[in-house]
Amino acid sequence: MPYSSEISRGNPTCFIFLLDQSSSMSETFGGENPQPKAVFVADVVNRIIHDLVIRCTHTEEIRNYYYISIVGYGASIGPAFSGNLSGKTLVPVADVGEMPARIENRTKKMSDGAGGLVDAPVRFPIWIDPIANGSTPMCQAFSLVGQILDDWLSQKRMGFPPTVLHLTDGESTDGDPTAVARQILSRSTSDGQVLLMNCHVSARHSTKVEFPNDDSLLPDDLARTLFGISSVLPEAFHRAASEIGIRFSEGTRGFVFNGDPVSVVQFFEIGTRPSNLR
Amino acid sequence: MSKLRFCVADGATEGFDSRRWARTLVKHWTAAVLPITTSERFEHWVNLVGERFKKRWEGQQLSWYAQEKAECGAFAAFIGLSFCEKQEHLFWHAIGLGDSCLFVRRADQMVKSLPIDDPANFGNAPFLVASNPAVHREQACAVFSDTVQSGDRFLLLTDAMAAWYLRSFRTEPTEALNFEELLAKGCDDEVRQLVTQRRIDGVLKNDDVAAMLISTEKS
Repeated sequence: MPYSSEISRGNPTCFIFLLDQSSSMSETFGGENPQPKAVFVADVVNRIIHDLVIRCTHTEEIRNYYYISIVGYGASIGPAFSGNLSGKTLVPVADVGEMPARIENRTKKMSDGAGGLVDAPVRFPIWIDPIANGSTPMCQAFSLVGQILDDWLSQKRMGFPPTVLHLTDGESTDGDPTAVARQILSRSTSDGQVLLMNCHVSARHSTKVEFPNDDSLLPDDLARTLFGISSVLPEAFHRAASEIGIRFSEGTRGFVFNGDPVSVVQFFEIGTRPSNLR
Repeated sequence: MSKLRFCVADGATEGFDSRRWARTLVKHWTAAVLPITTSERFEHWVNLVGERFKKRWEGQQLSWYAQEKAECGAFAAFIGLSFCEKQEHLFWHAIGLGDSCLFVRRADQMVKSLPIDDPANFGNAPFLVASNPAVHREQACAVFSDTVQSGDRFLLLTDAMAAWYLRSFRTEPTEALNFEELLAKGCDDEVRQLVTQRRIDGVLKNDDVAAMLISTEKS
């Protein structure tokens, strides 16, 4: 049965975050969220990576169940880690945990134990900073992801296949990404094909489509293109979805169109929580 | 007889220092002056032991990720079995939280399966005994007691083995009974071989296992 391989130190998997860093990411999501999309997305990805590290932490040791890559594309295309990991394409999660670019002090609302909320200080590690500059060279970005996958798959043929989580707010400016994305989807381990999930964000939330089974409700060609290069999500991701109240069925695709900030959070949470971790 | 107590605790890997937490629970539960077999007493006791456990790490310089895990604390499944004599009858009392299980066996019957009695219910992220009272959720311990009959057998098993044993008992009882016999005779090597083989067969999850059998003698 595909996508059933246990994720362990002997059989790790990898997550590739592919992030649109074009100039339009400096705009806001609209609505009540005043943050530029790039700032919000960087915050979400930093928190998701934090969660991946914590999930692999056993007392004082981080076990390498995952390898992590962040690729950005806009004015330039390449690895998007900040700080000591700058320039690295694929990093074992133990090194990710050891080497955040910096740790910021932030506050979060916590229960005061008497029915109210108080601001509590928290340490917030940063691995990626927001960037919004240039056009949207999606084809070249997918091509780089293909090279990273080839390196990984040449060494890890057996484990749970890699997951690519792609976020964009616009249309490709260097051509139709279908062919190069399908090449990504054609790669596989013995446990199944590489998974590609696409999250498109915009201010048009009224026509938001999340995790569809077919393309009948999609509004335009861009949506259909991204739907066509989004994987059907295997059962390993269904539990994570149901825990946040989203019901998946057999043909559900890892795809969001016209997503809002909540969609972005849910997209990354579901995509990084296959249930196969030992 | 008042201190005839047996228990199994299984630290959850996602917690912080859960192995030590499991050991702490076992050590203190068996050593308590009075048996801890009611929900109220168990909750009070866990809070006390948890406070002491937390002090081990307080004030230490930890990395950001270890610090975060330490703040959440440790988690363990726990199942405890205590015997007491009252008016010439022998009683057993059990308390459990999580997916480590007690099975009470009489002749070819399963008298009690605690806290999980359906093999399908393993693997559903059970509530565990948390070292940090702040992360205690609505946790209901499973509590049960009954009289002991001569020849009764009591098995305490961690989750992977409990799931396999309970499934076997229902579908292939000779497999379960053979396992019990190996335990009863102290055939540790054969038990290890069986575990290895069933893991290869894919019917026993590859996880840490612990098994304990307490037999009462037929008079």
